[in-house]
Amino acid sequence: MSRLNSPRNPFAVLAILTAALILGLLIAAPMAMVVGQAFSAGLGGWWAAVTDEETLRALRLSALVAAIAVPVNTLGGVAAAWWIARFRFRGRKLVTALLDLPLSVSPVVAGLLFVLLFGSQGWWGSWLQEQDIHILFAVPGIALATLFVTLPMVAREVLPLLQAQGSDVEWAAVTMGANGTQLFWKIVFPRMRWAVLYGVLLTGARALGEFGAVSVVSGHIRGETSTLPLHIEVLYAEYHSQQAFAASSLLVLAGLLALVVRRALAARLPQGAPRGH
Amino acid sequence: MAIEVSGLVRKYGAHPALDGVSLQVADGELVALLGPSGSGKTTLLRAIAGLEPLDAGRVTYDGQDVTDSPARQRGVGFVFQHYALFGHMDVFENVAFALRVRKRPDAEVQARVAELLDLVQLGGFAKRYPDQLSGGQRQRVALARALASEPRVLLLDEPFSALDAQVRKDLRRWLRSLHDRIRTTCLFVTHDQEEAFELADRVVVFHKGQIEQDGSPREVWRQPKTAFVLQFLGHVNLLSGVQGPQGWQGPGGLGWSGRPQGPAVAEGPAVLGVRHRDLSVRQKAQAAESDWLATVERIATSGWRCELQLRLSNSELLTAEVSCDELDELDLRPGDAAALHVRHGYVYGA
Repeated sequence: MSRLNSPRNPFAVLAILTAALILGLLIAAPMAMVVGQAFSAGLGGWWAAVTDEETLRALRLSALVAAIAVPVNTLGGVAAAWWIARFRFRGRKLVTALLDLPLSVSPVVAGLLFVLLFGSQGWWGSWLQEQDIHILFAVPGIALATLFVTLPMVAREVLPLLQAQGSDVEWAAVTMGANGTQLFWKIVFPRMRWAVLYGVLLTGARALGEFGAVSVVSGHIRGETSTLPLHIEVLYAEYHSQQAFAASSLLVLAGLLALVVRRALAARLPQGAPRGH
Repeated sequence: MAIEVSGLVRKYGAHPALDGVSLQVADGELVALLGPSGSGKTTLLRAIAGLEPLDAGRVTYDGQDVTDSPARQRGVGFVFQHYALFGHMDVFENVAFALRVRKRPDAEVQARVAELLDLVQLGGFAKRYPDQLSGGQRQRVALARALASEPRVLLLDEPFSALDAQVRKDLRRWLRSLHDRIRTTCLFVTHDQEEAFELADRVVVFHKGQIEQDGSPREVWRQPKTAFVLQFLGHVNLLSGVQGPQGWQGPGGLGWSGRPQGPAVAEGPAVLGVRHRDLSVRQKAQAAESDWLATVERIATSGWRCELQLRLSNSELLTAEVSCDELDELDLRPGDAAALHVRHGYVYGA
């Protein structure tokens, strides 16, 4: 029996109380506040707020952006992870570091990067204007900014798994006569599928919730370029607290859902082999 | 199938893993590639399978050049050190994989897999997953899986090194009997000389990316070509000195004028190698004139064999191995003086 772990140890009691206080104050209470405010005008008030025309539009735009970011970054992430894990090439370390850049750089800076590229004063701005192509302050810009900030998520889940697994299993399949397609679908993908799914979840959650980068490139055109997080901010700034919190409750719900699935996936992540039976 | 490789070179940066390796393996032979880690033996095995790009050299199967053909078309069976089983498939599907990718009819797959699982004595394990098997069982699944496509050659990369001593011994004998039955050309990599000698028809010793010696287990054991081979085979005392007209002369008046067992050696700096078991120990009173005098420093026993650590007058430490019964008759204890007689020695130019 370890005295340190004993619940009667005064330090343990103190630590538990502190943790509970922090969790309660910083997480549980605000969450409860959000839900409480969302339903402050009753179920009907909540329903009215989330089915409001502009809220629905913002929700649809967020869903569209997520629907673009998830498949693109899943394909790109799996390919990049495979490339980095299985091939030795010049600049491999650099590519790995670049892959992390979107996570380490502030989203606002990421947004400004796109302004620099596509803005009217930007590198490609005048050319785009001549062609009448709208990227900034339009859906393409929002999609691009979201793609950028969610770029590493799938690759970051898959890469360490591929590195830990090593390439012997894949070589084994090759010596047994598997071609590229068979190798990928029968061996490589099944062995990484839980990591991919985990990455998809992270990508989706981030794409739905991204504020900073999207805020810079969106231009805040109501009903046009407002994603759900941007719309919530506008509602709140205009003192429509209840509507703001009702819309927020949708994001909370999405977040909780992601959390539950993540918990379920985490147990399967290390191996990827079905257990028992 | 006969295999021939010639002039293989493979560099990792500046360091050559294979430095001009040529080797011929006859159809049906069971060959051990033996050497310390980093000596190039695994690289050679992978090169034969097509898993390793080459900087130079050719690989032929039955006289047909396959150097540029991809691994998946070579028709080899490869068994990896850590099994490399498909963890997301059960044993049946693991073994069936080679047949599935060839889109063989289901009835044929069923029959062939059942036959292979019987062959590796895992008949009742078809529905298990790899992580529910012991190490020895996993390696037998890997073998069955490699044999499923009826490979023309079976290549095994340190197949038993991850297993317990007892399982390793059993599996080794089982592989030998399997080879006697199926007669597929078979190359395996090992760093364990005992394994190489017990299993193989022929042993190829690697050192620094080159073949140091190539011969039957008996030949390699009795006639190690170089001091490296002798040392790698283990249980040997190495003493540096000079080969002169009167034989080998070491520091401190140590000399040996017996006939070396290895290749003839020119006069000049030379190493004398004496296996632990070739060093006779007797009491100082019975010493012959050519004997070396030493003090018993330590006695260790491994059951019926006893190992003596002996300190020579020139402070060099030697090991002698005798049966423990013999040692009882000698009545030697740590601290006692003893005389040493070299029964067989190997001398190599240094």
